[in-house]
Amino acid sequence: MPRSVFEFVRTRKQRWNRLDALCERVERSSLSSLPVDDLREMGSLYRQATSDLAYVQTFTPDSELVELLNALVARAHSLVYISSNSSWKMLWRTISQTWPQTFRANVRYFYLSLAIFLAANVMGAAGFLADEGMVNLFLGPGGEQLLESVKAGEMWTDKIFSVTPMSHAALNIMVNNIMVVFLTFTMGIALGLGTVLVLVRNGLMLGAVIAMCVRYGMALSLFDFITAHGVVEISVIIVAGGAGLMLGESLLCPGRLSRRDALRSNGPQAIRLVIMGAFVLVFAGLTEGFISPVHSLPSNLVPTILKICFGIFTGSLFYLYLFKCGRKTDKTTEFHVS
Amino acid sequence: MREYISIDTPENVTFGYEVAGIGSRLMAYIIDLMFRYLPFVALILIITLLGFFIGDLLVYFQGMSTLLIILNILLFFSLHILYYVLFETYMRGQTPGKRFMKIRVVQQNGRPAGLSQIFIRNLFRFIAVFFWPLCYGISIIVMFINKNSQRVGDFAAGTMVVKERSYSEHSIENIGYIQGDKNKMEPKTELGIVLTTKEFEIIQKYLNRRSSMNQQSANELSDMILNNIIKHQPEHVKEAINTLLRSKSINATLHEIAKHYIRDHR
Repeated sequence: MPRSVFEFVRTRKQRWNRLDALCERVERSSLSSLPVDDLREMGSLYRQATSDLAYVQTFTPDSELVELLNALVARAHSLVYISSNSSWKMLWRTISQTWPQTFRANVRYFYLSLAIFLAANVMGAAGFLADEGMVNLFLGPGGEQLLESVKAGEMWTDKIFSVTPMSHAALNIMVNNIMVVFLTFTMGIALGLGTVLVLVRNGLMLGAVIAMCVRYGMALSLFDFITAHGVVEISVIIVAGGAGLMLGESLLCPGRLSRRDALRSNGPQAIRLVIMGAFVLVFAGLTEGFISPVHSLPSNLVPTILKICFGIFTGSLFYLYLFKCGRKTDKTTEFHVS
Repeated sequence: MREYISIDTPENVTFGYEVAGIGSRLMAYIIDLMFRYLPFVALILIITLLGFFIGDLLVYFQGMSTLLIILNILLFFSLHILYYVLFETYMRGQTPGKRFMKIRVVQQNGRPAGLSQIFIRNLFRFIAVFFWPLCYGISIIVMFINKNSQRVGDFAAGTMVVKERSYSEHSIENIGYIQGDKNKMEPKTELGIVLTTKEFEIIQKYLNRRSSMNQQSANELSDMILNNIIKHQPEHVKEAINTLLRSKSINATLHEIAKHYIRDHR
């Protein structure tokens, strides 16, 4: 042991400087670019520095030396214990295993979200059928106008696509959907109430629109437009709703955990589901923009049938992915909650 | 109001981070705001200026509405989310604003924040974009009432923002633990004074910085330091120091006092 703090600093200074320089180099480029010898040296210098820190914490507490060594150790610590970088392989594993596994582990939130959405659908439809004046309540200020155009036998969606080019519309719709999904999720931070609100609102809208189109004989046109993309899109919104409810649950009834810990353990899983949803929506948006507006009703039914088949096909594909993908490793994989 | 977070390393040593305050985080936010918007302001200026010389440039963009929409969307994402995600990922938890304010995002266990945590904490800026007055209000209240100054996104991601102090050889020298010639450091008088480590460090730092200060503030500071040290000393030490002060300057006296500490701790 050194006899004094002065001797201590004198003998250790070179190593600290060396460690600092190595840290500098690693921060500039990366850990993997460091030669093996330097890497080994960095490891041992880091351990040395931690023990030096312990020494000064004991013998010269409340001194600036402690703070400086603390800074050095913190810096090296963050480089030595850096989490592994993502690679293509990890990305693939995330898509093929982690996401669907996370979904299955939290499937009860999905069912709850689905139940809320369906209930809102029924309420929306029933409300409209009981009193047509409620369209404004369900659909906002444009409701009345929409009702008029449906009564007149024209789909409002025709208008969207007659004025804007398809790719443009696809992008707009995609972004809009992704926004809705993120919003559905993030609103869950308000004890889950925000998520319920978004779900109910969208559910009421869909229910009312379906009831409207059925009553005025536009049902085929509506399904012609929405089935191709709607199955996947609405599913994603419900999944995001489930994720939002996860946040809400961890705040409302954290169980044995503290609220903060519950949020910390549920948050990353919930976010995983939302990111998955955003990925899927990019594809759904493309379908909506390019396939859904292709219409030839009422003269030709073939495209409509094809589109409905396409919708059912992509929908089943999505649910197959959610419920079947990566099942083999379901039990062996422990969820890494960071 | 300094809050420390201690972290146990696998080596069984505890080191700490000082939590970044709301002030420095807000300042970093404002700097980032500048960085985020400046390029676009510059772009608009350039287009406007060019417009004086070659006419309205926007004419060339007519009929390219799709392109403009794509640009618009890219702009939105990069301004509000991507900017933070990219910088915090590639600058190890820092954005230009954070680097300027010397603060950094880390996980609550002290390890560097990974891509997923950075993504989560910044995703929460989405709500802020839509309902900003409400959300920034809530965010700041939340930051005030928890001792780690975490905002909502930090809670969800399990991250926190900490102050960064840096080690450097210069600062080690500055606090006086590196001493040159042994004989020179031998005190010439016996004052019987006992210094605390903190007092020694303050004297050393003052003596090292003295040359870069203006005369008046250097004098004020040295008076203050000396008075604070003398205050707690027994009578005979006070007298010894006063005697020394008659023949030497304050700076020389402080130097002499520091030498006592060095000798006692050799």
